[in-house]
Amino acid sequence: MHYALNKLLQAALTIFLVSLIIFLLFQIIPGEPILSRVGDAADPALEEALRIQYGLDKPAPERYLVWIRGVFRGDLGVSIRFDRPVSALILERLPNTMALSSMALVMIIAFGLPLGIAAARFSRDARGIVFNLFTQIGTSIPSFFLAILLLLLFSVRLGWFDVMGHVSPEQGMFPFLKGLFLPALAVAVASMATLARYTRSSVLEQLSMDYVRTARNKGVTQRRILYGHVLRNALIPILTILGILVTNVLSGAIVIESAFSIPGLGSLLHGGIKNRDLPLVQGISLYISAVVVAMFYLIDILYSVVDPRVGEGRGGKQ
Amino acid sequence: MRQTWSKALTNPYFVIGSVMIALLLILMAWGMAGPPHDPNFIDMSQSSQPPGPQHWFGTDTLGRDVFSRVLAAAKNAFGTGLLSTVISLFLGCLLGLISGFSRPAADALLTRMMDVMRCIPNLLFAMMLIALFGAGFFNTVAAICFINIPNFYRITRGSVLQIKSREYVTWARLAGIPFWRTVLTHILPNILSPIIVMTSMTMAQAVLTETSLSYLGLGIQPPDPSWGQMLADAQRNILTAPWEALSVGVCISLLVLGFNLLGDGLRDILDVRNV
Repeated sequence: MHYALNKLLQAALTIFLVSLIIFLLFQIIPGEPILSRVGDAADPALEEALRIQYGLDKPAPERYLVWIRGVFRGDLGVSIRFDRPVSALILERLPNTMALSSMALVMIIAFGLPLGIAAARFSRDARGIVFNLFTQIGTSIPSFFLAILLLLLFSVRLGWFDVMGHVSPEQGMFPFLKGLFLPALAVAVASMATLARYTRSSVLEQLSMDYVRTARNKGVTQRRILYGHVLRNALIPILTILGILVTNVLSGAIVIESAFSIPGLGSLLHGGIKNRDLPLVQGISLYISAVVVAMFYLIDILYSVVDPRVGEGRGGKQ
Repeated sequence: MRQTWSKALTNPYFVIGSVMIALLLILMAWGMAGPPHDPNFIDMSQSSQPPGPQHWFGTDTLGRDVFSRVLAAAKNAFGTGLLSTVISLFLGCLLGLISGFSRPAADALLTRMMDVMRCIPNLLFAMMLIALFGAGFFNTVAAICFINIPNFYRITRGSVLQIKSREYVTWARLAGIPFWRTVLTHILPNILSPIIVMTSMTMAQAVLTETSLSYLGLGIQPPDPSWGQMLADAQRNILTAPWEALSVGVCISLLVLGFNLLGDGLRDILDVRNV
């Protein structure tokens, strides 16, 4: 309990610092969003009026407080391009990004884990090399190029999916999920390979432990050793890279949503940057970072539940 | 030294990775020395030609030679990758050294800052910087450099903390040897191996980030050619002229794969564990 509270405080501090960094970055060019709103040939009086209206005449610490107070009330500012609250835009696009990311995450775990376990099981030198080469290829192909390859194969050659297959969820759950399948796969492959590599080395490390030799000498079957003993211990360190995988998935979703023109957070952010809609960019950046911090926190807690050594005493084993 | 070399030459990852990078370096040199066609020469009569003896990788919708364009863009991929990696290597190591040798409070502050940076997804951070400062070659380099600093910081700081309490470092200080010489003779040789491995891995990530940014139209700007932006253009004609997307995509993948494999190989050869 003490551990969870301590971690919660740390996560709160991290979110505070992240918000500070994002705020400060967007202060470097303070007048810009206002100016782009009035246009180039603005008269100074109007500009000054807007400055006061948006509180830009106040000192930076005060502006930060105003901004962060708004954030706590769910007010992330107003998008210049859409002239609507950023939070409303985020909520509108969130379901698509959530669906895409969760689908990718399910694929990563469903294929990455078994692949890594199988590779550790059949680990002889030559196979190790083949496995390494293939997983490195998986991590090296950029997601947007993979998306093109998948489209060429599954949509053009085989005709299993529509070429630009995004369907809104109102048109039915199955077509919606089917439309997300190829984008999710494009996002997932790199992290799938990463997870498989981690799993393999983690399982191999456990297999070299003394307790495995003892079990083997006692006559426990290879299968029982692997699934009954080794896997349980091997999965604990794998938990730590889950956070990195989710961050990768979110980054991948930003690119792939633009590539497949899926109306999600990533394409919203992309459009915001292209149109210099800075309040929108600021709001989305803060939102995504907060999600990542929250997730890192949850994983820390999960880790301490799975491995009781962590969190015992002061900070656990490391 | 000789032993390391013989280990390197028998390491499959090292050999395959180096060959891939060397091949792409040759292509880049060819592009700089003078590609077979003018990469920007528009010839509508040659629009969307499939690969053939005239145009090895075919032509795009404007009739430009894809092979020459791929060669011309190679220097931007290498350039942004190398430049950003070298700068982040330098800054990351410097900050790591400072952090490792400074008082606990300052060290904790720097470490906390680096942890915070890790919580903003890399690509998002780069896009944010580009949104503020604008796209283009140097801003792309700066953004990629910025997001990779924590990689080198972490390794350097960790090694310094490990080594600084060793007796020979204390003795060196007592003997009145200047601080920078201790760093040069005792600290740097110890962190060299992990940093070499990390450099290779970071190069791969940097190339990947640059092509992603350029693909989104936020990296290198036309008319300066870049692989990411070529791929984005080619995607529109994927049904009529798939060869452009394929050749560009394969080049990006080979470059990233080359550095990843090189990093894998170097890790084995130099016996590095913690990267």
